[in-house]
Amino acid sequence: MSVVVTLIFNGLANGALYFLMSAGLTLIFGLLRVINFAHGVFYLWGAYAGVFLYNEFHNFLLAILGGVITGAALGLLTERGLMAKVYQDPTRQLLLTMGVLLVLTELLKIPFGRDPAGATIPSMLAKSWLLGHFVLVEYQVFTLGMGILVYVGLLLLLHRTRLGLVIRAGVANPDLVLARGVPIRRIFTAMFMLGAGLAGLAGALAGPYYGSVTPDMGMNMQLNAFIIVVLGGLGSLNGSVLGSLLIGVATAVVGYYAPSLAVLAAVLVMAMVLVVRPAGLFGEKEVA
Amino acid sequence: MENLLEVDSLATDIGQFHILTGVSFTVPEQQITVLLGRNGAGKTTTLRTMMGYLPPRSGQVRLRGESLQSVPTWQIVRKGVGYVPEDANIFANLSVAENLSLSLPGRHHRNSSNLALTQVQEQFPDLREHWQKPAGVLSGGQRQMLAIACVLVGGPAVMLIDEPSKGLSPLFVERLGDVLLTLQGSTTILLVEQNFYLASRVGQQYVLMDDGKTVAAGPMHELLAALDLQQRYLGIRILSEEMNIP
Repeated sequence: MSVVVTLIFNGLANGALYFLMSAGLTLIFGLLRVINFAHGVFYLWGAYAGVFLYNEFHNFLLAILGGVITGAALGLLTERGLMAKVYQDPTRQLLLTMGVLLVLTELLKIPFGRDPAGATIPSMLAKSWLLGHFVLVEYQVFTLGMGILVYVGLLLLLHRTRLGLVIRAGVANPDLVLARGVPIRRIFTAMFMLGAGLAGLAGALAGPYYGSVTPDMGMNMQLNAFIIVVLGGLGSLNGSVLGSLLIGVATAVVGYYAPSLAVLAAVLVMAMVLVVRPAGLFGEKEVA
Repeated sequence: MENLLEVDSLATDIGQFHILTGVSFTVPEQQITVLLGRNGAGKTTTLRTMMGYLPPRSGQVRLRGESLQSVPTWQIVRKGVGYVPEDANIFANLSVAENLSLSLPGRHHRNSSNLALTQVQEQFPDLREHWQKPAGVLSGGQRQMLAIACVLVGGPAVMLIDEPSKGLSPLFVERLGDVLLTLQGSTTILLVEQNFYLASRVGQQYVLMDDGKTVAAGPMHELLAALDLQQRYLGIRILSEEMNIP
């Protein structure tokens, strides 16, 4: 029983990381209708920025901030430099974002190499407690807390701010947002940066969480994030939350008993949901 | 009477098709000008070009003498041109209040924004009853009222309204006419309208379009007297001829 409880808690903490990754992906899709294959590389660079900064300055807050800023800056460059030119062309979007993922993944190997780099949990978050037979790891609690914090923050942003109002309107009808005197292109950029920044945050948290960073981690995380976004319903924030937790728990439980089947478990959960609800758990075009 | 808007020799292509080939007219200040013409005459394309959604091949649109060429749509709106599109002119997923507040300036103008919302509630009592409900639950007529109110709260210098009576019951067309009449004399409006009864009821000026270009313009009473124009360009049959009344 305690093993199951521990696995479920691990799964929820994994789910929090998945959520940070998939939230950005789904928001970008909801507003911009862009399936962003470059999202994994924002996570990857955020992870390496976090590890690099922590190793250099031993300041975890700086490492987290560095991860977020790195992700957001890459998002800004990608959106303004490349995406802005291909918004009307889904095929080019796909090829371009794939290209960004491959090029930036390879570029990262120049300074950091192909081998995994160690990432340590800061001492202030390195405790763990044994509650009966159940192990509670402080860094997992912290990761889960960050996921909850970001979810609440995004809900507040979407429902309590003018930017959120514009985003929800833009998801429904970007042309009409222009007719209200709102420069929707700037909102597109802000949204892309926000999504990329969240991926960077997920990366910065993921390094210490998994104990190391590798150049392949972006691609692996991206696969899970896509499964979650499709499972939850493209464009739905709530769908991302539920999808992340489902996939997090499913992969943790299956991964414990049969590690090689963990990815298959995620795909099976997605397939089962899509059979019942083809548009995903929360359908399409919903933001929060 | 000063002209607020001037459209000069506007020509617009969509793909390989020449949709507008020579549209010229003026919109005088604080009057309702009705843009009339058969289906496919180019009325909606004219409005979309004026709003910057479609780039013109040639020609000019001027607001108080200032060219709007290459100005993005959102800036045209901020310069004072409000636009109510023909379809999908509200956000069905947002509440009535949210739809309206999207058109308001930011929080630095909170007092004027609150005043504008209060005025909307007085002018459109139907909307007050549904204030916090999603706009998607409104009837067709209420949606049109909301769409017009959304533009009005922004305090535009001129409103471009594209066929607001489309699909509405006669009762709502009548109420729509009442609302437009309350704006007559205080707001400048360019109204695209197929319903000739509504157009002639609220319009003070008319512009007639056919096959992508303007063919006549002037005071509405002149069009009401020009039965040949009505027959040729609007397809309005003269009852006496139909019934062979001498």
